[in-house]
Amino acid sequence: MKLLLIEDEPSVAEYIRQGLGELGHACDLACTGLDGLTAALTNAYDAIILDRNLPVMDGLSVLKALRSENRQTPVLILSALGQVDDRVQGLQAGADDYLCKPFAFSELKARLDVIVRRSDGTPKAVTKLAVGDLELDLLARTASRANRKIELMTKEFQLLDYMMRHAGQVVTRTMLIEAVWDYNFDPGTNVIDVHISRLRAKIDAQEEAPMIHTVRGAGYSLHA
Amino acid sequence: MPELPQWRQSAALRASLLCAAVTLLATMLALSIHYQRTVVILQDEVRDSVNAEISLLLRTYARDGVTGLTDVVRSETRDKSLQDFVYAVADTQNRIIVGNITQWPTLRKSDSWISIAAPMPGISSDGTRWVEARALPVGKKYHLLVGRTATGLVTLRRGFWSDMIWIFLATGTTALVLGWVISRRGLRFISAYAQSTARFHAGDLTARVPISLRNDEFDHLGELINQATGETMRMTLTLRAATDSLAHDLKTPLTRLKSRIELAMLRDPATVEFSTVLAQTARDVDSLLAMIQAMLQVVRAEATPIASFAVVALDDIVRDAVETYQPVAEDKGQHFTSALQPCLVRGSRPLLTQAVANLIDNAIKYTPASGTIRVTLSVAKGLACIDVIDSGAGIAAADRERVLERFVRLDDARGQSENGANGVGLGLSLVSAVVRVHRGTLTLEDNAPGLVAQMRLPCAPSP
Repeated sequence: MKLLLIEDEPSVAEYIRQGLGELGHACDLACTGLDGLTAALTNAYDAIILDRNLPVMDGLSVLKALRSENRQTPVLILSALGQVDDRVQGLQAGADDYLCKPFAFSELKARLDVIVRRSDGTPKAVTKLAVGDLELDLLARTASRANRKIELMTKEFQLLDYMMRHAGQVVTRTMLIEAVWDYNFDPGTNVIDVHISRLRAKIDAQEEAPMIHTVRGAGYSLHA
Repeated sequence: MPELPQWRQSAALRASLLCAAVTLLATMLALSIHYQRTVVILQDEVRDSVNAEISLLLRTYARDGVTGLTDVVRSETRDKSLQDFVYAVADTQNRIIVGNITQWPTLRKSDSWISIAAPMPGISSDGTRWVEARALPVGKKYHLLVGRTATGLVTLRRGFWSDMIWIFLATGTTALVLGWVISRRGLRFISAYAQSTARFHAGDLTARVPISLRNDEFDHLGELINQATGETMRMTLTLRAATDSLAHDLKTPLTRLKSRIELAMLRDPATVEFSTVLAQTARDVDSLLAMIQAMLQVVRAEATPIASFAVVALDDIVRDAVETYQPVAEDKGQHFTSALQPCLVRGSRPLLTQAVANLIDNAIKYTPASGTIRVTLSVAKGLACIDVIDSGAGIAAADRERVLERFVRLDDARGQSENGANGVGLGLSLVSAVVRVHRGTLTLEDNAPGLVAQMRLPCAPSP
């Protein structure tokens, strides 16, 4: 992946570049909003990581300018402004995702993967999801694996829906909290783990190959 | 009663002066129009009839000369009692040749209008009457004077100016006094407002506008201002408390962090497990970040504007929280039940969600395995009531009040400090803050054993 990082804080920028470099991604750095916009308009990137408080031109203006030029490069906003209102502003300005500082690198990585993948294909209105022999009927709200019918509770259904849409990708706990629960706080204890383990118990029967995998230090991944 | 400004600078004086000036101008206009309408019309009427009489006499003079003129005048003035008109013919020395006035009046011009007092024996009480007359030269040797009784007109005209002065005085005084009295109420209020604002600005957050018993618009405004200052005071104090306790609460873990690092540096580098020290440090930093996050949430919950509230289905929110936490409780071997009644409230969905989640999370955390947790939502007397009942350790009676205060010392708020990484006290502080901005109440009671946390919120009026 070729990425553009627009960030004025040198230590954060260095941390991200190094991390992405270790994963084998090339990452250009722009230290002001204007430099970032210029780079984004001249080069082709797979995704842009954008800070909000930037010198010369703030992040939201950069994003709006980019979108008004009809550039659909996926943008992940990475900001210390993490209130619901801030996130809404960012997403309305055309960001594909919003991550608050301080953040874990695994979280950033997982979200980048998701937005880059998302930009590949346009989302279609689907009524059925399938991964391997696992099927989810979105209208009847039922699941089945290898013709074995699976009864799901509301939360389990939403969880499976989200994980199947992001099959093969790492989804973090925070992503699940935001997408499935729509919570803007950490529900504490081990809520997500408990729901995942219940779902796992239903999906992965004794003799079947496990589909829900725990990714150490990052989150979960569903694949056949 | 607060002091009023110097009378000369007083806006009350200026207001009443302006008021008086405007009133006087209006009065003058009204009187002038009135004068035009009555005096001038009356006068024109009289003058027209006099002019008609004069032109008749002039025609006689032209035909018959001065003899003819004097003859006519003489015959017209013969009956002295029934006269509407006065006549006089005089020579160049103003000696009256014939007529029913005794003295030729002094004239400014040879042809002019004049008001004269003519003798009128037997008709008016003082034997004279006011006459509107015109004097004009006839030929080269004579003057003719014709007048018509116009007592009313002349009195009206003469009285106009004195009337004007009296009316001016009366309206002027009234306007001044009224303006003063009326504007003083407003200005007294402004002065009180200025004083309380100055005190507020100087740091006295309790300064308020005095409210009178009149219950008028000023009092209404004063109450609104006081509400606003009250809200500002509440927020300022919250922020102060937040910064104070944030600083205090951060010091403890930071000190622990520092001493661990210093200890590691003191030891022989060969024997120190740096990865262990770093892992511990990272954990401590995480809990610090979580603590800051939690405190920020409380502060922001407190600062939520009521204007952002919407009608939300409270049963949906509670059901969602129950669905989220029930598996967690069951995994712990706890018996979790719920009973929810549909109910609408005005509020912020994210805040209410978090408050309910915090209550249930706390209950699960502090209830042992095989304990029971029950969540109910009921409606009574316009109040939505959420009960979270557990059979856990409970909170000592002495601490129950304290944990609901803003920013209670986190660690020792409930049970042992090792229990909750984020601090339970903050969890309840947030619930308490959310309930407060929703104008509800939060009570903690003993369930012997366990805790009953009860959240009461006013229901939204049914549409």
